[in-house]
Amino acid sequence: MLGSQTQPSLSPPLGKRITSCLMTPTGRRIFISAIVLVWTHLIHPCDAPALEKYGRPLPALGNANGREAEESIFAGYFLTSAFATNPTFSARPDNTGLVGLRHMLHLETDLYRQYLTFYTDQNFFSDRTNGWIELSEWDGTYALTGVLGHLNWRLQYERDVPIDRKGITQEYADGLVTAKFQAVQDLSGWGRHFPNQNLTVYAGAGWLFHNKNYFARPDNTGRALFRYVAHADLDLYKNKLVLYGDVNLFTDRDAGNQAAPTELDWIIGLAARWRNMELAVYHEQDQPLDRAGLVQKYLAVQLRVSFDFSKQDLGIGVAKPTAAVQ
Amino acid sequence: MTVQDFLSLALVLTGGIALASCNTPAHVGEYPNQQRMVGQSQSAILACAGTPKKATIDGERTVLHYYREAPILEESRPVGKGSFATVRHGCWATVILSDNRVVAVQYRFVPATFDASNDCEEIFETCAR
Repeated sequence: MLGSQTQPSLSPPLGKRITSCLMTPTGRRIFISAIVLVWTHLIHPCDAPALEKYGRPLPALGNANGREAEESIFAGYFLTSAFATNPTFSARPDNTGLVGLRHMLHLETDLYRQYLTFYTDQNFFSDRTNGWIELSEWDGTYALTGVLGHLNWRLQYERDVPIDRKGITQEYADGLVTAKFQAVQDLSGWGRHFPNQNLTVYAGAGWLFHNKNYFARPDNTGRALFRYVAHADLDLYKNKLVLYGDVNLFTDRDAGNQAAPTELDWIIGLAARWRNMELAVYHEQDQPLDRAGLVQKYLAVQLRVSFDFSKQDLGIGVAKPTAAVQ
Repeated sequence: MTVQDFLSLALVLTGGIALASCNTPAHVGEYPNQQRMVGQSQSAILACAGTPKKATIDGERTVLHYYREAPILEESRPVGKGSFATVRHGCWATVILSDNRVVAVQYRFVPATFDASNDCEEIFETCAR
């Protein structure tokens, strides 16, 4: 019987093609050129020196080898959120339960100025169908990130595991590059018209070069290959009231078109900040794009409390003052 | 297009954008709170902006260095099951006094490619009220 027999793919998966490409002399030359390009940026940062506008030069400020003692070396925040309404957002990687509470610790430190930063997120969820308090899922993220002018890059590993019972574990490692637009900097005249507002947008693409059970749809089907991201912060008043949105698209490495999105995750939220605290209300919805299926969504109220330490706070590398000021 | 072509194109585009963006540090302009500080006394500055991170006396000039790191709540936003980290940044404000009066205030962004003028302006927020 003639029917819908699946034809074997004529070309190997993209990951294998890239790997085999790097085995060729031309591929290696391209790869080495990329490393050289990135490294030369690290060695020769493009910071411009401060301009002298008053008489003699100012006392030297700036540390070519790292952040100054007064600048932040180590920072992070605690987060806790209550999922006020949650009809479908699951509490474990195997899509069982419904999230009740989320707790997260974010830590980050600069390894080499803003060019190389390490951060980690430790995320814990509870299941509202199991008493709200007992933790049901632990998601650990570890990443290196940095900035080159208007470009951000990131290498990240994430592992999502169930806590209160056995189940599937999801993990991936990805590389991501995003470009930044900041209205106050990139749009002439913005500051004149909107002195207390700003719009910051990041957008880019990433490749999940390692994937173990990280799915390409909310119903846990497929395997993610690429991701396309966009993020916007609309600062409504002096970074004290911020409207934000975030979009994440995933593609399926097992699909016919590996570049076509199969999942859309979007978030919209409003955050109010006071000192080192932030209260936010936000909605997230994760939905399939290429077929009907499970849509996961919720509305949450979230509190974040931040902390920040400089070398000076920790008593490291503080120069003696050259003169006292009365 | 072969994978080699794709890698080459990606390399050229990435390199071009990176090089172009490196040549364009953020413009340091003039800002309301910065301008309002000119003419104020040293004691007034210390009273409203607090103790500077560094202070030097150079002949008849006194130079005060203030720094404000952008709160990490601005730099890192929790999304999905992790977070989206952006650029850690801050701003140095250098206050130059002569004869006990502010004659100039200069801002320097960290990194230089990121407009962090709002952080320097925040240092003098209570002075401008």
